[in-house]
Amino acid sequence: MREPQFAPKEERDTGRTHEAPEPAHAADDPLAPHLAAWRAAARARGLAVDELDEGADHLRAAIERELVRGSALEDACARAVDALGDPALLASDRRAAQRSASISRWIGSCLAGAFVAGFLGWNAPMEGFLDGRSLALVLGLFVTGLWASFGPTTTARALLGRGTTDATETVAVLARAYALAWTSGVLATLLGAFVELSMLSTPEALATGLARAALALLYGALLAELVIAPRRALLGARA
Amino acid sequence: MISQRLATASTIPFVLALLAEGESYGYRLIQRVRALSDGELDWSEGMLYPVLHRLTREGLVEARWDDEGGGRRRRYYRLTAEGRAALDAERAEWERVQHALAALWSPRHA
Repeated sequence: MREPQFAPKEERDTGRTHEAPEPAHAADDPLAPHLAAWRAAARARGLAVDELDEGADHLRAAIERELVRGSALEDACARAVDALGDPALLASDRRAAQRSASISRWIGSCLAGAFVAGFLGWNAPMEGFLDGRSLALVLGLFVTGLWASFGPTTTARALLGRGTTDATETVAVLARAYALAWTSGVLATLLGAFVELSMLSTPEALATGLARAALALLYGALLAELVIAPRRALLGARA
Repeated sequence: MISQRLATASTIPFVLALLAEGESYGYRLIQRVRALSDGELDWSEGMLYPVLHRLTREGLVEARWDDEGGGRRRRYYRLTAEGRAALDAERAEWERVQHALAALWSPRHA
């Protein structure tokens, strides 16, 4: 058998070699050495295990199709790997996705959330069902989560419906927003309850404090059901 | 052959619609769209997989691994409830475009 040709085209062209330390494969599987060679080359280009498995499965299917059409094994391998393209591109897509959820985005989202919470919470009124601090905390957590998930531009575009909207993107953002609204309410309630319970030196204020903390859950629910859910329903109605 | 620009624009609705038929994997999706378009739409793998992974990250599609035997694993994708909502939204948009173009290009209009 000739040397496996299941490496990216430029490596075949340049004659560079690579090791193929892949798992043991069936001895009667003629594709296995080619797939192992591709995996080794692709791994060197930064593909993760899942991407390697998916790429190898894709290549096997493509080669088998070429073989059914009557191609020689080496030709089938070469065509399939050329069609798949440079593995580095697949890895770069993953890296781009990871970058999008990078530390800088988290810092940005936390700052945005803190700004919203601080802005609303500053001298916040506390009357009846209106507790500014709880509302600020819920909105702060909500903004932080959405910003961290999608970034400011996509979030604003989907929530406000301005600019170039992408239906798929909007559905994804609104689904996350709905879940985040509820989650923010629950988290803010728990945080508020912890704060109130830590001040047991003034037990007479405990009941009021816990009631205020529970308001955060109400705010989260209102945000989810009265703000986000109608927007989702409107999108569904348009569809 | 359909232009790359239009092929790229229609990738997401195609992927969502194909997965609405049932769960599938990358290679089969490429073959299916090629057959549906009589070979006019020729997706590249480098275009499809990033889209599938993006849709998975966004929760519109979910993926599972299946053991195919012989140490082979295959990743199957299927639509989530949110994915179906996204498909409905995409379909509505494309139907509006189709309707407008059909009206513009109809013999009566000409």
